Amino acid sequence: MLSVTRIEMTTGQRHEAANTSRADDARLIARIRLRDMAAFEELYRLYHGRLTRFLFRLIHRPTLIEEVVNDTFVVVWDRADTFNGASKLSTWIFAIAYRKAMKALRQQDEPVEDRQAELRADPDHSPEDALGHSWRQILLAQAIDELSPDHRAVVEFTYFQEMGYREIAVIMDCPVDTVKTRMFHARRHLKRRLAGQLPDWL
Amino acid sequence: MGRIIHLNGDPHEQAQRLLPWYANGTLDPSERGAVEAHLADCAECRNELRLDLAIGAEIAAVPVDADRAWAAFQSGLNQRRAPRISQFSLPARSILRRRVPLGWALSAQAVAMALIVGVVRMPVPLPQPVYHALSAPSVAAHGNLVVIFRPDATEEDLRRTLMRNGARLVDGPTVSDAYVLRVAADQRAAVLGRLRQNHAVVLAEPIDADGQP
Repeated sequence: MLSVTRIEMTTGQRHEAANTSRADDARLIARIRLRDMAAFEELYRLYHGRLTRFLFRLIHRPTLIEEVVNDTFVVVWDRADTFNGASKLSTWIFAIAYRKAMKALRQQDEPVEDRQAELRADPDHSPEDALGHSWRQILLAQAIDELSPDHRAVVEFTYFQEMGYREIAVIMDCPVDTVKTRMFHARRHLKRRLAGQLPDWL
Repeated sequence: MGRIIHLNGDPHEQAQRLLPWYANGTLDPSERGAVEAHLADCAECRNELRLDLAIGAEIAAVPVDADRAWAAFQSGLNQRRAPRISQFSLPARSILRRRVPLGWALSAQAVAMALIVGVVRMPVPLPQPVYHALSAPSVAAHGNLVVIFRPDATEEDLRRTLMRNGARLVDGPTVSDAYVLRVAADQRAAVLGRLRQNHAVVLAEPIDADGQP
């Protein structure tokens, strides 16, 4: 039988920002509208790590990550008065970051570097010994990186940001069925790529 | 992966489509109940659920130094000398768009994780005093590439790598164990190519004369 306890633990490990209530959101954004720098710092600290983590996976040009993070916070500071509370504050902020990230990706003109090529080229390479990470973690990361940006975003939002599919649909400005379909394709790809690892993994 | 697959109507497929969000605990009670009812009778979906749980547990969060990042960002804001960024929209954005060091305190473990996820952001030496927070590393003048060696690389590995590539050490190790090097400008692309093939090197990236990547 499935492990409900495990699921509940996962739920309980959500990010601090995700637990921020709508009332907290409203109070925070109201202070920011009044140009309260302490409030802005509070928001920055709540979201900087989450945004960086999200962009770390989504953007394959590492030099753009901090630029997109900064752009996102500039918009939050500049346009705090446009947040109307229809969504969670986190949804609004991630939607800004997602749009900025996708725009940055579209402007990308250099090929993505394949940083795993050296590992794959060396059959004797043992990252588990040298770096303390398992081969399956590397395979998983490679498999995720092979997804399209939209599919990567859904995977990131779901597995690592622990968001619901409705919130993801708002952030990505698409129907909920599109989110589910993207996830369906992404999971199928991950399963196929990790096929040889699954028995040992699970 | 562009083929359209219609899943509506089949309870098994409906449950499979919801499993990732069942695993992360974000389904509403009715959806959750429906998925659990199906899971009770479906070994395949129970197995699928283990995949979702395993993926979520595999990759830990990347450590991010929010303190230093905020110091740099606030420093940029304070340069505005006015309460609203929007009043100086273009100059403000120009300054704030400048890349600042993430300050990720990458331990050897985190460097390995960065290798795994395939993207590594270096704490690049700051090009502009406006962003030089007190806690930030010093500016490394004249460096034109940055390197992270594998955690198990030896001193001999580092020395041999520098000598073979005609590289001079400008700065480092930084907090993330990175080294800023200088090589002849016309050789930089070739050196970068060799460094990226070097088994002792985790990352090698160019940085421009102003310190930006």
